[in-house]
Amino acid sequence: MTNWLDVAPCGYLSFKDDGSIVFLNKTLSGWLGVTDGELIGAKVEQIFTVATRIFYNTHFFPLLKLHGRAEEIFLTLRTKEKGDIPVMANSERRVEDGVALSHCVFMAIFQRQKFEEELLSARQEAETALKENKYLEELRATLETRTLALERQFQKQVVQHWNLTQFNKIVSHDLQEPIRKTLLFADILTRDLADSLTEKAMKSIDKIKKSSLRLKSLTSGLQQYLMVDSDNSHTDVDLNDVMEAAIRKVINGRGLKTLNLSYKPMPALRGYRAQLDLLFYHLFDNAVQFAHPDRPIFIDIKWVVSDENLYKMEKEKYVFVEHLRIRVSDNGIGFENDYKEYVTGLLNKLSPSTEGLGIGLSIITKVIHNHSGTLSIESKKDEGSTFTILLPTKIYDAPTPAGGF
Amino acid sequence: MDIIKRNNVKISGKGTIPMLFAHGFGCDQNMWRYITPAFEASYKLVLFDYVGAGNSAVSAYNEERYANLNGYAQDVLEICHELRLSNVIFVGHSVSSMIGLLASIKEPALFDKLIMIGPSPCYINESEYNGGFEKKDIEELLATMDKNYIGWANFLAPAIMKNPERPDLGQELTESFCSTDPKIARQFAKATFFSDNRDDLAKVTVPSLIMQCSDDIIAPYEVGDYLHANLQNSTLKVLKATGHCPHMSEPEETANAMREYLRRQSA
Repeated sequence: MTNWLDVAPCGYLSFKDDGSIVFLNKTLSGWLGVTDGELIGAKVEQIFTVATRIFYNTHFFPLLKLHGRAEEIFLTLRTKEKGDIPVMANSERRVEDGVALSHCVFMAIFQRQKFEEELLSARQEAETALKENKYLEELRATLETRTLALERQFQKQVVQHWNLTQFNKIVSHDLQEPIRKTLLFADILTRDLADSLTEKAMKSIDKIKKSSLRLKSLTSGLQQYLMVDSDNSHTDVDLNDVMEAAIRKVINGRGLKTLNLSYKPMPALRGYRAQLDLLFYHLFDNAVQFAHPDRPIFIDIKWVVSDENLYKMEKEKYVFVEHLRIRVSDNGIGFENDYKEYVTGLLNKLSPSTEGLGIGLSIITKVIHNHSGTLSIESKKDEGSTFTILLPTKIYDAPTPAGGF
Repeated sequence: MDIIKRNNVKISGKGTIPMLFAHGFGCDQNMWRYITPAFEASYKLVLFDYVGAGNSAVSAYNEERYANLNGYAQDVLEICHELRLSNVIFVGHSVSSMIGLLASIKEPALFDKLIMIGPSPCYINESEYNGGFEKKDIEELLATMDKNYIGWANFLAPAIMKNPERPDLGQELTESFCSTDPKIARQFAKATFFSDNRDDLAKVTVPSLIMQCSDDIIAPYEVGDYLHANLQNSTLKVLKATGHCPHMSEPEETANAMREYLRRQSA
């Protein structure tokens, strides 16, 4: 008797979950150019092209397994002679007597395939044109808004720059003179009238002196902060030199014998050398300043290069470029994590008793921003702080003409 | 946007140690359902869909962000931060292995272990390296996807219409399966198959399990060996399961291998 399934005008295939073929009809073996029984036990993927093998693994099999069926799926069979047969597959997975079998019917679609390809390419062209058109329109709208915003920003900046120049002048000159004079006259008072003044008056003069000195160091801190931006030409910076210079400066400035640090050689970075010097100096100096009284300060520096988004402010823009991710951890006194925003503020200090100005972290933040980087701080009181700094390894002023970076 | 909604994050399990399951290309979190029961009693299970897959918020899809595996790694990190997860056991299938690996390079402190099912750091052959594919194979795959999505409704129809074998799955679930927008799926395919993360392997510090399937054309033996040789603290486990989805074809063997690894690591 004729086995109708064997000679049916369609390919028929059954396989197990592990992909092994248990049956294929004569039509299919004919298409594939294999002898009867040659493919029994072989993997079903063997009869597919490479691309269809991927599609089978990522879509077809998961669909069969999770849903029990997959219909009107386009696949390409590969014959023994390496020819391609485009097929439409309908398939169903059934569990019988505890064995799961997937059954597929294949219809060859040589003619339809051509038609579909034409249809698809026409649709893709239309979609591309539409998308480009939409993109251009959006671009034009954005450009107009941005140009206006930029213009306003410019106007503001001119005023701000002028303000800043004035402010700078006031801090570095105008304020210095009255402070100098206050200190001078307080000195004269204590020197020349020491005998005739009451103890109470002497104490008051002392307070005037202390306050004036504090005012002096505050203005000098402000000046330092304002000076950060004066270094604005970028070069290839060897961060190892930067680190060594920072370590030396901290050791000399704090009168230390050594500074305990651990780090492996750092890669080069495109950046503003003098600013990066300040960044590492203040990082290390802060750690020393906030050392825990019970243990010598130890600073651990780890780094890795990873791809991060260059856009930090613009929420919808993404360009992933190489960044240096530096993690600086210390075993100092730390602080409550809730204050991590506050501590980066200019002249903000957590404890009035510490000698610092509260300027270090603001300079650190400013330098990082000037490099289009980010800073995040994690700290635990009595355990130490970790500063994670992300810096692009290059300075990106403008995209390349090709539109990429 | 709310990250839990954006990534359709689902939390279950009775334990406290978090296990974060990241699905691969072509599917969504439903693919984990055969192995998650094995971990329910002792772990906190966190499942999610990448933006553009399953029941995630497609409106949050950003072409620039998700053209790069780092954009997907950002999804993983944002979920960890949102749920305040730490010491995460990351379980990634296929391309998600590399996504988890990138996330672990960025924030190693968040991750305890990486379990990678069918991982590959690079799919395309390049001089000495044998990833398994030529560039033209991937281009053909994109064409195959396009053709299957041309009648996109057809491709999805059986899933939406009925699900007679598993009535327990419910309507919402069946509708979500593989309902990735064709353009998003195409971009995910490109981000996946044209990625090359070989240079990142040396940066990984988190211990990892490489689960290598037998006869997996997407991640062949050589690729598993390459990963094992280049990843410090890695363990290579070759499964009897064939194909690229052992967690679906041989869930028991897969779950056992994972448990065995976790037990040995904590011993």
